[in-house]
Amino acid sequence: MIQVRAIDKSYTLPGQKITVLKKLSLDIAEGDFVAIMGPSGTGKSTLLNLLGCLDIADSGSFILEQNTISKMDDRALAEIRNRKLGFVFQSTIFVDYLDLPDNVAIPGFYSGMSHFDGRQRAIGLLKQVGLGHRLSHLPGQLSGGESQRVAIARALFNRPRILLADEPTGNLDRRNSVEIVNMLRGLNAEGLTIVLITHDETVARAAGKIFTMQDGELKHHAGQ
Amino acid sequence: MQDSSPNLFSYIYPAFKMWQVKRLQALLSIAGIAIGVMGFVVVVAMGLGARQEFSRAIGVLGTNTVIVNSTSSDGLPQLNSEMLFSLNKLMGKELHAMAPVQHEYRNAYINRKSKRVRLVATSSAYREVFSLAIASGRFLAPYDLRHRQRVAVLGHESAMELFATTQVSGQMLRLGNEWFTIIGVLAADKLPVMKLSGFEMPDIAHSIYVPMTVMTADAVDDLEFSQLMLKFVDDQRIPAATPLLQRVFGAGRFRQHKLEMVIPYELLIKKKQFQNMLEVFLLGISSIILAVGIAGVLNVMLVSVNTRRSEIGLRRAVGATKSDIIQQFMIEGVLLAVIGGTVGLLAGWGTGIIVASWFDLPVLFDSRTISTGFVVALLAGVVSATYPAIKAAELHPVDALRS
Repeated sequence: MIQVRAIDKSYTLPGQKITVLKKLSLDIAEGDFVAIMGPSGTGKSTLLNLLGCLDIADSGSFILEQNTISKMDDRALAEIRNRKLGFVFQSTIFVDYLDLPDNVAIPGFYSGMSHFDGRQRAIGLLKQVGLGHRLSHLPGQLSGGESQRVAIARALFNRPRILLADEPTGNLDRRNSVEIVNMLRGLNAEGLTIVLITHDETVARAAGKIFTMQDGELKHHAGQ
Repeated sequence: MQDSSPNLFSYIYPAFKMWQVKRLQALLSIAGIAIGVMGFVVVVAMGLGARQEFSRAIGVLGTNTVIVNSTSSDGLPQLNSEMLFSLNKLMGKELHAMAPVQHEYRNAYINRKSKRVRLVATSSAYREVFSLAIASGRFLAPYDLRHRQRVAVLGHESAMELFATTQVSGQMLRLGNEWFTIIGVLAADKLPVMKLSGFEMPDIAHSIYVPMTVMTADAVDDLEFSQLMLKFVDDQRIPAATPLLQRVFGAGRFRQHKLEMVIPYELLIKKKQFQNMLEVFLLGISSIILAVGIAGVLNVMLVSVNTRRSEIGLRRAVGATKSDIIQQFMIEGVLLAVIGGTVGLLAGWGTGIIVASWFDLPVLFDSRTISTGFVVALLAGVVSATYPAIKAAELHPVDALRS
């Protein structure tokens, strides 16, 4: 499903070039639940951004379901993000002036879904994540755990093939973390491929495969 | 595969939701555009009004009219029939019509009520000078003057005010102590009541016309009067004819300010030049106000882009293309401009009415005024939204998400 071969990524800061990923390769099969661990600044988020088609590698190849991502233009990448990928970020990002159903339905805006249909599907997803009683609320009125559940509902809106989660429990207490991890497990059990970035070993244990990032390189750490 | 481009509602709906929350931001933008559009609308309405007034006045007076007025301080008429004979002899071929005029105010009595009316004692040529149309009956004829017929022709408004109809031919009307038979009513004309320096356009619709000979005991061919309307066959002849006219009427009289010669076309041109200057001046001021308005909207939009970086990142992450982001900000800017433009149009209409009544300037609101207001508003919206929209679209999704 995902085939990454020898990708490099570096950033240029005034006076210096910082290499973040070095000849990194990774294979993820359909239905995998992959966790990537490692200390801060080792390139975990950079890798997730590349897998999420938000950024392009300097060299190497990245193939996502037979699509060579490095050769795609802005429109095609946006289409892939919209149709095939779902994102959950550490800091919950919402459109603060839209209520929860409208926030969850944002991916639908860009797939041509009507506003009414979008809201109906969003309401269904919010009920699924246990927030059916907060439909008229604005994102600013939610707790951390609730926000992350809304983010998962939004990520699932266009029925993606892969869910990319960047420290989804980073800002949550233990109880909410467990809830989110259980939710991810459940989704994976239904066949959704998940790539999870986390500091937390207990969270990573939910995954079938665990990798560790160190100095821009990926090492298979545990799992099958 | 279904069409994946967002529909227009997907952009408009969140924009209104945002303005509900960020009211001050929206109001500032709307006010900036509204003030600029208001200025433009007033200038356009004034320009159109002036042009309409000018063409109406030209349509009635023509470019080939010369008016000689008595301006003697003793109020005695300085013009007489002998001068008409001389003029006819010297330049009869160049003149299309000559109408002597004597004005007088009298009370008109009707149904036990009296009304002060302006009497214009003149000849049949008056109709030719002003190209007057008749609504009913007929105008004065040479026969009426020769035989001192007590007949009257009513201006359209005079007929409506006195009788509430234009079908009054044959009815009797008492003007002062004398009775007149009404023989006709003028059609409603569109001659504007214009004040030009040294000359007031005759208020044709509110006047009553009677044969000059019934107002005096003088012999029919020996009349005295205070105004003479001359209509030339060709306006090109007027400059060459002016010295000749001065000779006929007596150059001394002009020097002593007993007579004056008015060429309405020249006065109209002068007035139009003044109005043009005023338009350019107001257009300049409106442009400055609009530029300030655009700068205000631009600033508000730039601040909006900066405060919505994470939203932009999120939208990009869930499938928005650069073009989607540009469209979103452009539609927000244009929507603000359309709302501001509508407010500006209404405010401009109100201001136009005030300008028209306070400064006695003609103002015209029609489809051209409205479309100009909207085009200006749309342009202002596009100009002020383009740069922020491009800036938003050029944000790298990763950087935007990190904000």
